[in-house]
Amino acid sequence: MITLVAAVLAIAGTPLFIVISALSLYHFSIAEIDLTVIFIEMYRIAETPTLTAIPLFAFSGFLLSESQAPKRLVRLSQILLGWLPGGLGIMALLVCALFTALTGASGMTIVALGGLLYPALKQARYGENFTLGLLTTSGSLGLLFPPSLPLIIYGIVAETPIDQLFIAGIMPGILLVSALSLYSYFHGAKDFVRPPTPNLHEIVSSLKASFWELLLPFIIFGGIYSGTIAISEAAALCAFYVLLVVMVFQREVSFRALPRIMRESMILVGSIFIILAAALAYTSFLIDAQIPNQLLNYIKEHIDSRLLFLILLNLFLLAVGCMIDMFSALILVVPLVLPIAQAYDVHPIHLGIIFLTNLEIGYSTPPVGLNLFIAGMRFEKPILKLYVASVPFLLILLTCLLIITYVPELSLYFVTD
Amino acid sequence: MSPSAPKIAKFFDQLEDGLLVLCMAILLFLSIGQIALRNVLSLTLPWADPFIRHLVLWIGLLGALSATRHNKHVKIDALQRLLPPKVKALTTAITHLFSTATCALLAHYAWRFVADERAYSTLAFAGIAAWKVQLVFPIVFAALGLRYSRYTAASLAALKKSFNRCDKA
Repeated sequence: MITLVAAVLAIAGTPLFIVISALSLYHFSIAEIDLTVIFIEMYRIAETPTLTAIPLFAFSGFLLSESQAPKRLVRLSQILLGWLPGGLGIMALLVCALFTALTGASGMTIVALGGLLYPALKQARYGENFTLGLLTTSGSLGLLFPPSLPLIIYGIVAETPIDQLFIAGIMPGILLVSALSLYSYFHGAKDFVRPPTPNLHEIVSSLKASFWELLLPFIIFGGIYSGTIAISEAAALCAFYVLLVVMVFQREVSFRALPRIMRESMILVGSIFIILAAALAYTSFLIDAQIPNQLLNYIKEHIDSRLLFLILLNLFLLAVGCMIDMFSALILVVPLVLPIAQAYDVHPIHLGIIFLTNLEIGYSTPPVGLNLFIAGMRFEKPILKLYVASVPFLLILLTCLLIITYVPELSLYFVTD
Repeated sequence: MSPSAPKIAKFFDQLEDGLLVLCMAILLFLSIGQIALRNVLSLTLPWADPFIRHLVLWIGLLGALSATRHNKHVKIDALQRLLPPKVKALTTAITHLFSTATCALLAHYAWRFVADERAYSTLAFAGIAAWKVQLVFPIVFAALGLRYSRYTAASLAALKKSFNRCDKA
């Protein structure tokens, strides 16, 4: 009954952290547990060192999107890929994926890059539906690539090593991007006109222009995989480096803009952390009440094959991904699903990749996937048109999802665990 | 509402913005400084790590407070988009009222939590009493409650207006 009331309030648009906190207040008071326990749990935020990475990476992402870096990357990839049929589409996919890896599917990819890519694709005579579908589904493409915030959140919630998750995401991430790239190659530019071949001078000058941004991956991963620094320290270095690039080397963001960028990025962080805090209390209630165990027993009674479990998991997660945002989905659902998945012999790292792929696709799934609404606003198109436009892309992504789910080696091959 | 009320609200908004930026700046500075100190001077500051972790807690909670002001909280708003305006005004008022009540309760228990910690005199780091850094909980939840109560009042006024308009028509 109380769950029903909570669900109605949530669907009516109450902030999720309020709904979750209210549930904790209710359940703890029914169980006659002192309600201050909620804050004992919330205080655990200050006891989790890895969490420091989140404000630092988020700030870096916002800072980069304020600069001309996206523009330079678009220009570079145009020169490097423009000669290929569908190359501009492939370029859009790559840039979106890179950008999302840094900003973490907060809708920023569509908002920040959509304005650059939409006219470029239209001008190169890509079909309207193709362009819209591509930009809509690309809004969450790249979440499997490090240092994606959702991957870090999964690692924290599931207590799984984040550096291994980063490695595990690379091949599935490449699979998604290349599948869509092939589609772009065969279907994208129907009347493709090869642009004049860029000369060496153009290539060198655009490489030079993007030089500082191209170094970024090495800065972040060099430290982590040489084992000299932790994720949170890599995030600090990344933030420092990006600050240096945008303020000193490129001089594209002024000192006076920094407080605003800090505030904007910390609003994103705050909206994630408050849900995390609320969920810490609520999941501790769930675990006390042995809800995950009951759930596991129930599911074990009805599902006996691993295959069937994985299919149901996919369907469930797609629905979740299209209903609520990625961070809350991870924070709320991972603690419930993790023990069950382990009982079916699904590796926690593989589970993380399955989770993120599902949520990524769920974001563009009609009728209520978030990307569809953001793209609708950004490109001023009716939502129904976007439903139609995203269908072929969703079918391709779903095929990849099946491969990622049923071929665990794709995720786990390079994982040393 | 007295004429000075918006002024006071503005003051607190600026205070919140300032604190958020200050915490973030210290976080940046300290986390970089710590890496530099360790690698260049082989020096580690024992208080730096716990301090950074508490900064993250403060940033998270202050960020959440700002998210309320800018209406950036995570919520399921698919239904809201489809509702007719009058029903929408009603659900907004109800959700705001519910948020006010929940935050008030949370602020109350956060206050008791801090009082308990003070009684047990737990330490956070570098000899600082834990209750002092934990004060952020009751402060933020009380501020959230106040903010939602203002939104509740505003949405009730909007609701009344939309019904009056209906009566006239």
